[in-house]
Amino acid sequence: MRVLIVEDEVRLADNIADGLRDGPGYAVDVAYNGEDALHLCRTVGYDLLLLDLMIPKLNGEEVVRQLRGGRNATPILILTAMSETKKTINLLDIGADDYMTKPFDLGELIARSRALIRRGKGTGEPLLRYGNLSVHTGEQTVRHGTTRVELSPTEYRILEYLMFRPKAIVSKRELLEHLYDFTWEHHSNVIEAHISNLRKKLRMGTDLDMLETLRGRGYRLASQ
Amino acid sequence: MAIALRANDWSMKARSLTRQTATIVLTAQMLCALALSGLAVLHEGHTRLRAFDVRLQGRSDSLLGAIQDAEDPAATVRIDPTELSLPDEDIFAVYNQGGTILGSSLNAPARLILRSKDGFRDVQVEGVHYRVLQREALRVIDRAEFGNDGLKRPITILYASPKTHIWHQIFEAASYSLLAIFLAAALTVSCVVFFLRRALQPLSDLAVAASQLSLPSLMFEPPPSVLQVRELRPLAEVLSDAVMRLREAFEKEHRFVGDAAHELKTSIAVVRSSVQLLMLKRRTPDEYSAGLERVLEDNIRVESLAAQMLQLARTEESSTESPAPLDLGEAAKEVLRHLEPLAKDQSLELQFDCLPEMLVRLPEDRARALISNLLLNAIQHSRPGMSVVICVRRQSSRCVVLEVADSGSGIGPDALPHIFERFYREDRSRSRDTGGTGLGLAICKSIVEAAGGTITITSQVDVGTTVIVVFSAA
Repeated sequence: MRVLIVEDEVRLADNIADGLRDGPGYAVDVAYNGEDALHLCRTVGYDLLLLDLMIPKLNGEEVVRQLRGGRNATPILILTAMSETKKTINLLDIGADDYMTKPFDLGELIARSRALIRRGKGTGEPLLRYGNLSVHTGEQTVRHGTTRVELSPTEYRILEYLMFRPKAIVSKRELLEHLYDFTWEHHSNVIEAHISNLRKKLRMGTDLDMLETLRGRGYRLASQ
Repeated sequence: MAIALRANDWSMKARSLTRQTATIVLTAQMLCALALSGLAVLHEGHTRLRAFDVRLQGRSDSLLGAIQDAEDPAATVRIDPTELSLPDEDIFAVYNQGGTILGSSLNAPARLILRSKDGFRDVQVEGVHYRVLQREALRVIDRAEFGNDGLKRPITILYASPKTHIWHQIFEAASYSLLAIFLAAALTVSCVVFFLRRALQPLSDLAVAASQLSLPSLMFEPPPSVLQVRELRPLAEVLSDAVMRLREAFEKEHRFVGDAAHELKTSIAVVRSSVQLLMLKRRTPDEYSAGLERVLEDNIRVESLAAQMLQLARTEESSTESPAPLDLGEAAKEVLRHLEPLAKDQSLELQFDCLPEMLVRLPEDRARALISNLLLNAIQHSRPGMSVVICVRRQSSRCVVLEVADSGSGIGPDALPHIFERFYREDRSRSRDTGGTGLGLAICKSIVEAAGGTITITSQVDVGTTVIVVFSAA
């Protein structure tokens, strides 16, 4: 999953970014003002936007308005120091999905981010199922039937992303964009190795391939 | 309760403009009426007295007519009272040349018919005022005997009539006019009260409009009825102006509190997230130690933010006592000594140019805070190898100027007008690195203004920034 943090307080932005990388293992980009944020949102498909309201150049409210006006449906979690109910009502009305007031709990922020991403993908439950496969996004565990499958963080993130979009073909580029931040191009070759390892682990010693590769098009969870 | 009581006291002591004006009008009218009636009475009295005198003369004439030839040779004339038709209360006496009384009315008081000078006089007898006329007259008698010339007999006539009547008449005439005046006064006063109440209505409207002022909105719209009154218009405008300035000040404070809350919450959020990030998973001792260092850094930032906010609040408190004269050059030297290592660390040169005896009225701690804030800004926006110039000089005999100039990154024209606003930072993501709280220049401005000085800033991007502070010399 790839998240954009828009926050002009550099230390806070860094901490949230580190938290999201260390915790759920998201790819995180940071923008320090509203204009950069809008530009990034138009060029990169984010799975979540964490947005501070008081940011330079273009305030958070305006960013929300322009994104929603441009039919961008990325879930938006507002970070605010204001605790005025009217303001938050207004924000939610113009298209924000959730808000947290500063100072917030980092753990709660991560949990809410996870929930918003899940909702953004059209699932409410933390447990994703596809055939025999089940992925618990909260615990970050994977089971094949009742057997637990041990995955590396990157392998887990690849599988989680695919589980959110079962049956769809996910291109290598899309996968890269959602798993890594600005530096994704460097990971271009590594991802194939990760996918190959993931495929091996999911096979569980059987012949059944759970992860299909469609040459030149991308990857897909195999229909069973 | 206390407030209600006080309001009550107030209304008891308060003067009513209506009542006051009515009283003034009434008093003036009464004085006028009294003077006029006095004059009228005097005039009436005078006129009536003259008419009375004329009548007295007339009556004495008819008395003269009643004097006839006497049958006895000694007396020569006599009065035939039967031919007289005089008022009963009138008193008369006729004397012949020798002073013998020829005749008089019945019971004539001796004092009244005493002969004295000719003419009119006033005599009081038994409480009654009489007007007395004494005149000499000639009575021609025995025309038949002495031919046409007749015999001339000089006589003295005394004729008196009580004046009670005239006074009666005078007071009657005066009382009519007084009654009319009182009626007119009563009418005037009620008219005055009525029209004054109507004329003063805009004042009540103004009071109602003013009473609707309340803190959060602070809106004051003077009623049109007030603006139409020339005497009230200035008051309404001054009030409206004052309320507007109050509202602006209030909004500014409100914004400051909001901004302050935002800054505090954000910096606390940084500390909290730093700690929680460290607790998110097991880390190596090196990671923990680096993380703790960051937490400490974040904590120092919260501290400096709180300290600066307190400093700003303190400098904005007006102090009445005038501080002792302070040598601004010495204060600058002191600050320079402290900041020299920092400048050296960033390969900056600090140039100091100062004349002695630059005295200003400024508390020492504030002078230091001002100079170090300005110098720190200059240092933070300069690049290695550059120099920062601080200069204290006299502009005229009256002004001392502190100038801090750098040739650093400068301030954009968009940001320049806002640079003294509290919590304003041109680029937060950049100023974060320099530890800026956005309060430094606001503190400088408030220090300078509290001392009655001025602070101006000129800047050009990539050319440099110059801050000029002007104080009046102590």
